[in-house]
Amino acid sequence: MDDRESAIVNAIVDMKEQEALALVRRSFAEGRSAASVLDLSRAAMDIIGKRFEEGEYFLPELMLAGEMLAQIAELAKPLLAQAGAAVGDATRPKVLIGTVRGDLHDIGKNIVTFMLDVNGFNVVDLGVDVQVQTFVDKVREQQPAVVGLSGFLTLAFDSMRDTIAALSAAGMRDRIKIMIGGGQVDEAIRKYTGADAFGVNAMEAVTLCRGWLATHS
Amino acid sequence: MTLSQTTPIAHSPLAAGLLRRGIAGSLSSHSSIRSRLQELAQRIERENLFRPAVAYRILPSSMEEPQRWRIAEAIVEGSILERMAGATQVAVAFATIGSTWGEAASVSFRHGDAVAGCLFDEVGTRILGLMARRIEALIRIEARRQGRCSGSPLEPGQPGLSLTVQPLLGELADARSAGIEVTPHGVLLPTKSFSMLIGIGTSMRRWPRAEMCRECRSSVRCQRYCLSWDP
Repeated sequence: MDDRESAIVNAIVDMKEQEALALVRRSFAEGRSAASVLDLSRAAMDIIGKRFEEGEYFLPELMLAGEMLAQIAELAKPLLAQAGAAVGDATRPKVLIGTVRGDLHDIGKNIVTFMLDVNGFNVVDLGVDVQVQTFVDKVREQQPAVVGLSGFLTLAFDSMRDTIAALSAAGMRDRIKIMIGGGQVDEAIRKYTGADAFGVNAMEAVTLCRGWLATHS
Repeated sequence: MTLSQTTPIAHSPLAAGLLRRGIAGSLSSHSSIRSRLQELAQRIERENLFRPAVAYRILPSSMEEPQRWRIAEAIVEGSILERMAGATQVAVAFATIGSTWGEAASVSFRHGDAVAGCLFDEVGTRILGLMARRIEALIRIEARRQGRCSGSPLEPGQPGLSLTVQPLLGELADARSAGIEVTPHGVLLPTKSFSMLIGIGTSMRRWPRAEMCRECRSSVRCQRYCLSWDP
């Protein structure tokens, strides 16, 4: 990593938003490739994710990093298009997410949606209190690779199980990976609901999706 | 401050203090986040987003069984209610920071301002915790005025007290008068709301909050990801 690359990574990791964006703009002006700058951004995000896991950074820092990534991605978009790379939602793997029936909490879902979006996923957010049949209909319509079920309250567990059972009954279970997340979700709840995995935070959700789609591709 | 049974405490010195402490208590020390917090504080004031309200009733109660209590004309069940042994009255309280707060958080996320959305949630949760402490203290003072004492709060959703009791408690406390709706599943709207039961009697058991946290399956994650509303 050269000095400029280190400077970009460090500015993002240290939450120096304006400095990071200025360095990125300068790098593009000097002819650095969009792909390489995006790689640096992702490397910075990995460091930030570790600091979050270690308790040095908290959710606001994670979100600020995501915002920086989103802004860098916007700056990179025209350059990627010029270079012939496919850009836009159609090229991004699709994740369908919603807070399950009976639960109205959206903060966890919104954080996961945001992090998936800035990490290159096309997220379809169904909102809160999403009925079982709505999930079935939307999975059929949108054909996502991954479905995320969010729920903060214990009442959500049965809704998650019912949703996954309905997707199985509709013959769609084998085509998708299902992750669950929320306040009290753990391995026991994962087994109870029939989900493929659970995540305790937004970074884990991103890691899960990346892992599944890498295996898929 | 005297807490009347329905108290829209918005625009009061209490509300201003809660907001100030809620913002000051942020765990994020990064200057970038601190400056966003200041922006948030200005926005909250400018758009009048903080509209806290409280509704509570102190009602006669009697134990039918250790886990089955009569509160006024209603029956409430839960293993945790054993902790109210000795109570001849129960304070049933509901409080909220108002619906505009949560709406602003959701709108922030929709517009891609995830930092603001996150900070709204974090600060809102902290303020709820501060409100809970204040209400607990005020009920304790009210109990003392009667020559009695109050126990520690019990909260629907804690292990041993299902959320399903919440609609009933909402009726008892007239939660609607504080702008709080209780869904049939026991979810409170606005979501940044809480409820609690506090037993009042001549000799009431009190316990540290951590004791309840130890029994909750979310406790480790709560502390780790700062979901706990305990400031």
